[in-house]
Amino acid sequence: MHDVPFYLPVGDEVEVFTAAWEARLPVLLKGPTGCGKTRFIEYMAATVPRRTGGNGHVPGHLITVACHEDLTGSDLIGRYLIKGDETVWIDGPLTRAVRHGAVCYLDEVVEARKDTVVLIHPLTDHRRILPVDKTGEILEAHPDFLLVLSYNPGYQSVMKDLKQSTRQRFVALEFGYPPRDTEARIIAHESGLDVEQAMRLATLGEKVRHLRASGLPEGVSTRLLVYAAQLVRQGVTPRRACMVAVSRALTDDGESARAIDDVAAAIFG
Amino acid sequence: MTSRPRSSAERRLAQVSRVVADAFDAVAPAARRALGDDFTPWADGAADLAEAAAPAHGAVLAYLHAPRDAVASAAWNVTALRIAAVSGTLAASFCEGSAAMVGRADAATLDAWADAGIALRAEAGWRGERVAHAFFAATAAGLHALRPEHFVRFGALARHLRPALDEPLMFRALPVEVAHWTVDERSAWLAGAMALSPELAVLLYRDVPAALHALTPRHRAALLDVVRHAAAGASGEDLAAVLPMLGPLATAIPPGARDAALALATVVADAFPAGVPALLRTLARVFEETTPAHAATWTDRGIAVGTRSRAAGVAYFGLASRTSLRVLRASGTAVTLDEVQGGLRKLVHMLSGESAVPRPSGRFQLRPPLEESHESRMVALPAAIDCLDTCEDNARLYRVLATLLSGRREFDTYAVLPDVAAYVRDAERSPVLEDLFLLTDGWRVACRMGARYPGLGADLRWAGARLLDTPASVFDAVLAVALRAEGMRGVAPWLAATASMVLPSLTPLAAPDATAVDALRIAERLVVLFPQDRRDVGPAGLPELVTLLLDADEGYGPPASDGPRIGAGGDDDGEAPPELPADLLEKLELLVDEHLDDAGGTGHAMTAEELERLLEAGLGMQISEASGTIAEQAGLYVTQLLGKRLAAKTDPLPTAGEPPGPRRAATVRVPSTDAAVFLYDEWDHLIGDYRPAWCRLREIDVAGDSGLFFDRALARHATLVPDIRRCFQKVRPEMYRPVRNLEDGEEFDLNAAVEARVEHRARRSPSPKLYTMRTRQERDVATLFLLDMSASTDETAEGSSDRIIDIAKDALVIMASALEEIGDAYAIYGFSGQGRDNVEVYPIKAFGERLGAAARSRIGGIEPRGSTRMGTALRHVLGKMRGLTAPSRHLILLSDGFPQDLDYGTDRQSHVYGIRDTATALREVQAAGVQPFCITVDLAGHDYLREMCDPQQYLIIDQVAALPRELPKIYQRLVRAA
Repeated sequence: MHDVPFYLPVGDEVEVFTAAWEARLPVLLKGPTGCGKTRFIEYMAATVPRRTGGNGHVPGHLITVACHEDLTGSDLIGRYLIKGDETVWIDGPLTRAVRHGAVCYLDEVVEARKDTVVLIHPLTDHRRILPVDKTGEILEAHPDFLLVLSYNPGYQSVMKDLKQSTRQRFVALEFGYPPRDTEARIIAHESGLDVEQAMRLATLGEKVRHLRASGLPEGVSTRLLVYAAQLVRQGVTPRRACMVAVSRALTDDGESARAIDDVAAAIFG
Repeated sequence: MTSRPRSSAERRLAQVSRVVADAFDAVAPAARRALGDDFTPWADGAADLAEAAAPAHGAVLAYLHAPRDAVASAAWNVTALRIAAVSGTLAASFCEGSAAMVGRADAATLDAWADAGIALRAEAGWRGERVAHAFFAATAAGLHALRPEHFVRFGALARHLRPALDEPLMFRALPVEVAHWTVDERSAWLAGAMALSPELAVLLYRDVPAALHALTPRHRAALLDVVRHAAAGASGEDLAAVLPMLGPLATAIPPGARDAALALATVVADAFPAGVPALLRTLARVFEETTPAHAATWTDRGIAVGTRSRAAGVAYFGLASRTSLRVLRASGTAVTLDEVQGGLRKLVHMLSGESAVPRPSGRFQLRPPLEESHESRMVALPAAIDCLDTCEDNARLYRVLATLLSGRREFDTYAVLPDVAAYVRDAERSPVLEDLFLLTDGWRVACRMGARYPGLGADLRWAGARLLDTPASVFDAVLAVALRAEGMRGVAPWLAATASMVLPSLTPLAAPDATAVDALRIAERLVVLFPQDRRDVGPAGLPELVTLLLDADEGYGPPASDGPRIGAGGDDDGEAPPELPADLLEKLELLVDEHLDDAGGTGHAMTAEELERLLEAGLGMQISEASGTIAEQAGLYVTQLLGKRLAAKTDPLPTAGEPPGPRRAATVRVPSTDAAVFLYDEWDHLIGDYRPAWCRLREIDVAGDSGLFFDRALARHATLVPDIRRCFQKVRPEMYRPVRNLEDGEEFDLNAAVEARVEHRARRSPSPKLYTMRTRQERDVATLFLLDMSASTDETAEGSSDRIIDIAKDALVIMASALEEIGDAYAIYGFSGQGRDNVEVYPIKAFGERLGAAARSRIGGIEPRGSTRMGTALRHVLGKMRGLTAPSRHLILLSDGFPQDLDYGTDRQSHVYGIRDTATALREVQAAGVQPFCITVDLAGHDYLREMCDPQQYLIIDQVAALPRELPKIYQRLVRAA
């Protein structure tokens, strides 16, 4: 039995996802890095009601695939391996989720090759099937299967973008960084730090994110703030923790890093 | 009754004129009584003069009515006779002009004066008589202002000035101020005027003495001497601009540094007179930014620069070259805005949530100036800070200022009072209102920032403590006292007095709900304590004064629980507030009563001793005479304490990026204030150096046209577009290429699998590399197209009915379509502007932006604008390419002519300045790893493009209409070559 991960809703995302799950609608999660997309899907996968009650094949009812630019169709669907004198078919993560009923979460899907992304199309409409060419199978999706994609619009470029034919198969949930109070609660929960210190870290996060438009490609993620909080919890001074977990992790630009350190100094003294 | 026998003199006078004889008879009895035995010589003198000046009677009549001083009259008579020998009427003018001076002016002075008049008459030709008359008539009152040796020079100066100022006017314009000058000053003044051209000499002669009134005689003489030397080499235009400002410029120099500053000016005037006008403008700033010793080093370097190149030297002394600023700020401890502005911009942006562009604002002060517009994205920071001992401390001060500026935005100074700058600077209001508002709102912001950011509290207290000894103004000093939170311990009595008056009023501003409106209200009430403007004094302003005077012993520390605290009241280890002696308190109460009554009280004027005791007690106040309105009496105001420790407050001089007014006033267009502003250096080939922060550039949004032009362009080139696309598809790399012999992959490699099987059967170890996979081959190219949107592109292209700009837009449409096909990263920017303060860049499509409806419509919205300041635009768009990781980066400049702008160089007829600056900018582009390429439709382009870049870096398109077809080809060739 897996514990339900901690997740603090920011808006109505839990209700909307639950509704999409009930209707078995594929879901697209959009948001900057470290804002809680993965944690959200872990939480939802663990909490949504399953029609078959779960069969234990997929722990946590979730299979996550970190997409990258060399991700091939075989990496998702499966491949033959030579095992002694015979070739053996091994299901890929997508096939396993389809076959056994689980949420398949393709993280940062825009990173994947376009010819790979096309494979998911039959799974994301009314057919809910997965043709496996190499074995000649056409798998019908398990009732508890759901495809969830995520991507970061900040990385979007001409070369890396979801085709419309892919986009329009999903309901999209947009994520942002949580408000300061909520983020402080998250930091406090994840790190065990006291709320006052967590609030200061959340303030730092809020301030640093202002730089997104000028200087930083991304704002500081809640994840990094949690890291900083965990370092503080381990006895590292707050300013040093912010330096190693926030400013230096966020950028190689010395000027930006020093400016972030200055803000941290203002907040923590 | 027997008649007295007529004397010889009487007979002679009667022969000359009955009128003269009657006049003599009238004054004779009194003269006889006054002169006694000297009467006869006096009467003979009258007769001599009457005969010599006849038929003019004026001289002898003046003689008869002049003061009767036997000796002086005799000498005067001799001089008058000398003039009468030349002209009787002139002798009359002399006598009438100088009669009142007989006995007061010495004989030598009168002689010299007479000689000067005679010389003027002789040397002014047919006008001589009139000029000499005017001389005697106008300068008699100035006899005491000039020495004998000056009259000859004075007369010579009159002749020198004649082309610009008629002599009579010149004589009448003799400034009364020179009467109080020393001989040396007058000598320097006259010599300086003689050294200048007539037009400039008039300025120095007529206008400058009044402007130098506030200087000491020594400084005046030194300054005039500098001007005299400068005349040998400085341009007349530069001198004319600086002469009327001599006084204010000199008084802007901190008093303690004036000796050193003028000594340096003298050195420069001797060695490089051309640099003097520029130096006089910047001396105050130089001595604010650095020490006298380093200023001397800076001057030496400037003389060396000026010796090599006059223009470079002038720019150097005007702080208008990069070298000059670098040498000036080459202090071991100074920190310049250039060094830290990037980090400060980010700091302000992070804290306030709004982007900010630092702008140099002159000298350091703890209360940075307000921005004109609440929509401005600028934050005013000093060009350099060198007031503390180490770089780290000076950099820390910059951070403190940046946080206070963020606080203004974060705590709504501009949101609540959008026009606060205009309000406090209104000429109708007190001149200290702005300073006071900066103080009150600065304190409010500091309290709020300290409460929100616990780490800032320490910084603010540190800044207050460190700046207490070297404040930029009395208001800065008061804020420093408040920030340091140590009460009045160690504070100089004058400052303690001032702070004690002001700080209690600031208490409400430490409250979390205090707003900028509260700060303004309190500043307006505090004005009464600083009444340069007497209109502001009145009962309405008194409550604060009353609070201060009567409640001072209740302590005056507010404060924010965790922010900085004011004064001693809230500080355990601070001293108790000074207690007001009972007798002084009583006197103060009387004064307050009087003030409220405003009708002349019955109090007594405070004696110097009482005043001293009061200051020592740590309480300052407003002190008036016993009667009359308080405001009109010569009381002691806080601002009068300035001289005790501080330099008089002066407006900051223009910085390098903000040269003096007249030239800048020539800019025509006022840009929108909400556009981001960037400052760029510019290369000046005349000085062989960059002019720092010389150009202001704004990014201006282009209003789109809903994509109509884009669609029509595609339709117009319907046959060309498919060809181009096809052509580009050929260069599109093969997207996927199979790779074999992999241990993991998409497919089995059948050959490898069979081979492995064979090996296995043969009981040999098979290779694990059984898979094959397709891998992607990428192009990684980024290109920025920079389009000249100058007004000249509005012309119809040769051989076409379309405008040049429309053809260029067509080319961009086709190019963009083709690049979308190939997937190369590209961006499009336009540029134009008017003058160096108004360079404009128009973002059309940024890198990473899709060629969506917005970008398409912006291409359609491109229209001709102003001039062509290429260098600045190139430097700006280069910044857009710095973050790109593509190994192959290109910048393609599309233009229709040479670089040109209204102030692109001093000589508007010459394009050399613009060409050289653009060439330098292109080299900067290349040095940054970006390959520039210039395309022009100007057939004469060879003339200047070969100066701007290598032959392989430019192309001239003969037929403008061919641009849409040629541009993609050029692009392909460039990218392939790279």
